[in-house]
Amino acid sequence: MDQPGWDSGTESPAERREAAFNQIVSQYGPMVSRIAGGYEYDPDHRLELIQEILFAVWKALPSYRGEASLKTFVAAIARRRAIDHVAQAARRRKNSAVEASFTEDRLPDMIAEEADSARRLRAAISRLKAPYRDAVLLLLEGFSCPQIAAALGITVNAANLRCRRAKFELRRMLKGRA
Amino acid sequence: MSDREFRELAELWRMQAGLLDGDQIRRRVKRAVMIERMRAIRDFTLLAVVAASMVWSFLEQPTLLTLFVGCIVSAIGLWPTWRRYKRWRIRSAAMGDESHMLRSLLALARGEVRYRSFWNLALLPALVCLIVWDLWRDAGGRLDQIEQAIASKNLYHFAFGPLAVGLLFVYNIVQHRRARRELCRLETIAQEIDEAEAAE
Repeated sequence: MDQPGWDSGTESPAERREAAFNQIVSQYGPMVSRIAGGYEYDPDHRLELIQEILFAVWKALPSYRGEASLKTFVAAIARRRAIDHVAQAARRRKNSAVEASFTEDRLPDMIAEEADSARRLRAAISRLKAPYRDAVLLLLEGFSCPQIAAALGITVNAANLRCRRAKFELRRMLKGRA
Repeated sequence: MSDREFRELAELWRMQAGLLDGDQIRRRVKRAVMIERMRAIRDFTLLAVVAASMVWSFLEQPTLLTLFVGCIVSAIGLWPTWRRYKRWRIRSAAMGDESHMLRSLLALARGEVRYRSFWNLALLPALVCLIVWDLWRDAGGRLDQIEQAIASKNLYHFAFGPLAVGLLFVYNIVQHRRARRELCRLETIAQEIDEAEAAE
């Protein structure tokens, strides 16, 4: 699904909007959740950020004309809201990405090692500078460079360069942490 | 980092389910939509009340001073609504020029810092002006009636102002610090993006 079903014609605009939104939550919800996790470690505040992002998606849905893929549209909104959220978090003296601990201690032992790797990856991402963090999060979500360029509002060449630097920085952070 | 290494990291990343419970988040978003509508109604009501009281006050005493004070009080009352509206507009822009969004957020944050600084300095003079205006109003705009207007006031009249101003001052200081922290964070983000763009 790249164009949600708001052209079906049989329902009212409000119903079509709701149906499209439900599809987006089902399909891109996990991506939104992971992107939010790249900016906000605290589970409660992360849930708040996810809600803010999806609320923004809900509001923006009528303006979606298919210029970019729906995935890019959602990711771009997620990123913009995340920047605003990070700034707002500073108001409550909360350096969420760095200070808060990532708690997943309910995970079974079998996947504890993977959880540890995921935790280290998150920690490395949290220490990246804002533009590189954005690029890495989208790369990890499987975005191509043109899609990243569209989501970040930069040229494809600039996106290519930024992705290369972002990977380099991520590697440096991961090695520094190991 | 090789492509294979990065693919492995991406797989690891995408294996995280996240915190999302679809039904819960849908409920939360619906609630947020409702809250926003209620806020819009509240803001509109506030606007109507401020406008009505200004008009009423002017009709009761149609003087330039009443008009001036009414305008000042309206501006103070409506400023937070205006600020929320501007923030809402910036936040509502789904896609587009990121540097424009950052500039707008920075301008908002700087505006709030200036606003809070101004009020920290202006609260005391504002209190004096309000007392003078209140007495002047009670005296019917006649200097020889001022003493009578003062005598008609009791202790609560004079205690309420300084107490309210003291509380407002403390609130303002807290908000000022918060605004500065937000501004500082935004400036850091903007600087990081500028550096990345310069390197590209």
